[in-house]
Amino acid sequence: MFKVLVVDDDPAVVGLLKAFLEKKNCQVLTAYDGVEALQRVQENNPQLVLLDVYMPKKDGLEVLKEIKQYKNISVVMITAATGQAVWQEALARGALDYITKPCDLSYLEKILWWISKQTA
Amino acid sequence: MTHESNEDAGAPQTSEGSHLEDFNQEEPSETARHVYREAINFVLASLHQAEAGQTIDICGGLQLVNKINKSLKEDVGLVMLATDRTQEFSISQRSANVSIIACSIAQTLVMPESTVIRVTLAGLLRDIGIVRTPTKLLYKQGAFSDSEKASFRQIPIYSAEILDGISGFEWLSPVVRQVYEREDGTGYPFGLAGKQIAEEAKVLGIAIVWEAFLHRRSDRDALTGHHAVEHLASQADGFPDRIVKALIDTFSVYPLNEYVVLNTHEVGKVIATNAGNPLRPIVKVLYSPDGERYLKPRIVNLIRNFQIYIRRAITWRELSTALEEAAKDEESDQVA
Repeated sequence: MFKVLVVDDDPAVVGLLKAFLEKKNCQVLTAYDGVEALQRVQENNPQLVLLDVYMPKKDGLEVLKEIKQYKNISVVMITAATGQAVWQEALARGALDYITKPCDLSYLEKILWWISKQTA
Repeated sequence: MTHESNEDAGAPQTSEGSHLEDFNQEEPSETARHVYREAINFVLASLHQAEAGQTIDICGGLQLVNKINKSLKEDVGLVMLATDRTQEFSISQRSANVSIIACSIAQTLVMPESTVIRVTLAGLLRDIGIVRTPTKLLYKQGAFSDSEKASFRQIPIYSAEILDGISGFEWLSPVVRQVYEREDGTGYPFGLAGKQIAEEAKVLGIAIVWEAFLHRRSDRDALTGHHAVEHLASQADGFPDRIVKALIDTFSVYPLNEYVVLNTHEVGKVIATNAGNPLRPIVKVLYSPDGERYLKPRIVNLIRNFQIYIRRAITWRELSTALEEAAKDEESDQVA
């Protein structure tokens, strides 16, 4: 089963994404801050991380950087921010894609399809 | 009626020349066009030779195949020509297309150079047995009956017979015979499976199917490249995963020439792909949300403009229909 970690400090966003991903037959793990996210990655080795940018304890860009230092996992940033600079930074740190809130689930589905084919 | 492209429509970074370094080709080069014409002429000449019972000029084909291989390493011009969605292709053009597509996949698979050459040459000649098929069948419109389908299924056997016994090219006949065989044994003419099928034939097999999906046939409409890739990746066509992956790696999820609807409701055409993220290619934005063609289309690299992304791909026919409907709406408005 395709394993996805959803990281966001907003439980409503986590709930929405979790419900959507479970409908797509994914195994969904959740985390609500940056530190917890890194623990989940270490313990569960997900194939995809959906990662909020602005979070308590450790922000998404820092989490992204740490994940990429030791794991080859696809990371898609999720944020309400619309600044191009954040996207460029995320891209430079190895993010695969970037989705703005409210999330377009049909686009997320395409990302899922592509990554699942790559990791099959 | 045409519109100026709105540079501010969610794409502040797309002003002229800001990120054109990612690609350098919007149209096929003259060299690519020349090689493409040569490929079509070679197929036509081979068909005439087969029809006349003459020996096929394989050596001429080898020179051409080297040019195709070289051209594909240099730029995407040949791929642009082979995947053009705006025209219907002749039998000889389709063979050239398949040869080009298969050569690209073989390069992606890092097959030995000699194997790449074999794949490309066999691609040009794999349908030569068509000369033994009744002409009226080749140009028939609409669905085929079971007996007509059975006639088509003889083509790889005829092709193999015509190409059999050519000195130095003994491998050619078995390969063209196997291009419709499938990994899971569901293909024809002999229902071979797995390792019984030559690697060259597997690459050609997926190239044939993909090329066919991209273009309209007498009994069905074209698919979008995206839909074709999804179909092939669903394993419904009996190709090994690594060959399907190679196809996607080569042509991406939204291949060159794909028409796409963006989240801005504009319509564009894929003119280059980004290897890092196939969902975010470089798009030439051609039509406004109300279907009017931009006077100055802008080019958007979706990987650098996160706010813009592809909602869906559409076929050339769907694009034409959408534009016609938009034009009709405009006429009605004027009458009213």
